[in-house]
Amino acid sequence: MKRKVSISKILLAIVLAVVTVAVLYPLVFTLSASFADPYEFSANPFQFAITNPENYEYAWDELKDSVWTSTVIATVSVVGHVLITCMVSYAIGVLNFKGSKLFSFFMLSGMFLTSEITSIPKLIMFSKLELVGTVWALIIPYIFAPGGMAVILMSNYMKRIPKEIKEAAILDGAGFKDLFLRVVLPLSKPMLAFSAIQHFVGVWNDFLWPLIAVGVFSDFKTMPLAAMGLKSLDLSLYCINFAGLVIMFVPTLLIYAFFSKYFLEGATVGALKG
Amino acid sequence: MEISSLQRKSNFWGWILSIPAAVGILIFTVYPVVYSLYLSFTDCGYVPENLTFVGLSNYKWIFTDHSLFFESLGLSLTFTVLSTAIQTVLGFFLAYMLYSLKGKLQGFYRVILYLPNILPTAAAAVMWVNFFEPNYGMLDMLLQAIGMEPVRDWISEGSDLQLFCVILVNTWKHVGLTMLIYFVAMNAINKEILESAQVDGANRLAVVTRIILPVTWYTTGINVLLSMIGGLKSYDLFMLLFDKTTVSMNVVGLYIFNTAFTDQNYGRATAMSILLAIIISILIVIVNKVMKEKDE
Repeated sequence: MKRKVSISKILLAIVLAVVTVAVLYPLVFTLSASFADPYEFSANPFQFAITNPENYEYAWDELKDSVWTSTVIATVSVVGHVLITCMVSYAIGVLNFKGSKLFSFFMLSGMFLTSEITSIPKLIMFSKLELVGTVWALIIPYIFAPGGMAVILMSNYMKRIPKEIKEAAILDGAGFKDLFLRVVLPLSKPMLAFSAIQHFVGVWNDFLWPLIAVGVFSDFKTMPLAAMGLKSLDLSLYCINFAGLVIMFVPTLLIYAFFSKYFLEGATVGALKG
Repeated sequence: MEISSLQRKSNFWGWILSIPAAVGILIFTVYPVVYSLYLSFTDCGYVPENLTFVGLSNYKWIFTDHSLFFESLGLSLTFTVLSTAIQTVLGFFLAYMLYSLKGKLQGFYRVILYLPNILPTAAAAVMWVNFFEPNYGMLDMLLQAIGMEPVRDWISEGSDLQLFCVILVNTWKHVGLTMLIYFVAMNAINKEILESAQVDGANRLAVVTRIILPVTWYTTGINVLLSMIGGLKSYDLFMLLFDKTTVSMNVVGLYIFNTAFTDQNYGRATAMSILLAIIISILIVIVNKVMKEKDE
């Protein structure tokens, strides 16, 4: 009986290993191609050899502007977005002000809209302001567009901070400002990290809105727009393009490596609540 | 007296702190929806000037032969049904395997299998375009390495494999989330029920079909809904995988996008996107209902 179980366990491990290879191999191939000489590589693609590390120099030259643009946009909008999310979550979760229920309903309803409905009016709005093609057309909506899920999660989190702690702070003469800055915010740090990471990756990976609002020919094209230029039409650029893709993967992979628990927990909490 | 002044103060600061979020909702959700609805009744090109009110004619146009709306919606539905089915079944299967593992190995596989989900869609799609490349793409190289004929025409126009390729990339990218959601649900199953079933001599298959599958049925509903909504709305992947000359993979989102920004007809594009939103919500309601009925 026991042996039977362990055999099926081994079988499971093997199947999982095969699936894992299928998931990871594309990335491994990309990595190995990125270091190779295209002509050698096309003759023998299943060998890992670092023959052309200069691929990265060429790729970096092509991409450094968009890496910079994306970094600035993502960082600025994360700071703004998280600030707004904290404020409104404190208002809903702790202050529980009159009208907060209606407010969270509006927050949530935005999540069910398709992007097409909002993108045309948004584009018209930004072209009237003459901001199309600039970073502002990206930063402003990334900061202000309602993050329904983040608000719901964070306000619930703040609500669950024990009442005793909040009341003790008030009795000690703390105003709402001190309660917010000295008590609630420090206790909500994991949630702050979670929403910051989620928003950063969301902005960093967003493709459609930059395509509409900035376009591939702009000086301010973001990384996902620059990615479109990495399709290999010519063998001489083949390995350089893969180096470019690696450059694009590395930031999200690093964030994932350090904060994977936020992704893994956040993804499911978000899905189960929605 | 104390309490009511505290409540008044709470209301005051609550509203003050909500101002930025409220501005965001008004400008980026409420106003766009209302304005889109308005545009859909006008002859708006790509500059909203000298607009003429045209009544329902944009909506009527959708139902004429000149519009490809329903053709492209059909393609979207085909893609959605196939990818939802594959993703849900595979996701369940992977989650169950993950669930059967213990300790570090489980954590390792969980992190790895979810990984494609967090990569930028654009870069991941372009990576796959390079794999589908006819002369030195990875897939053909693999086929040749195991002694098979290279396919060459993976995603080029006229290839039968186009839909297969999008579904492949889509599944690779998104199955991790489906798996993760199932995995959480399986972990919530009462261990005693499973153990007593095993004591009663139920084999693995029986445990899966009699216990795990029914208990996670609600989760299946969530997964199906998420993949369906994702599938119907999806067009970034199509835009990235196929070049502009490809007309056979014109899903509904892409058709709306091109009507808006290539044909520069905002009136028709907004009318179609509103119709699409209505269709998606009806589908969500139907699927939700079917899932709930089966649950009872």
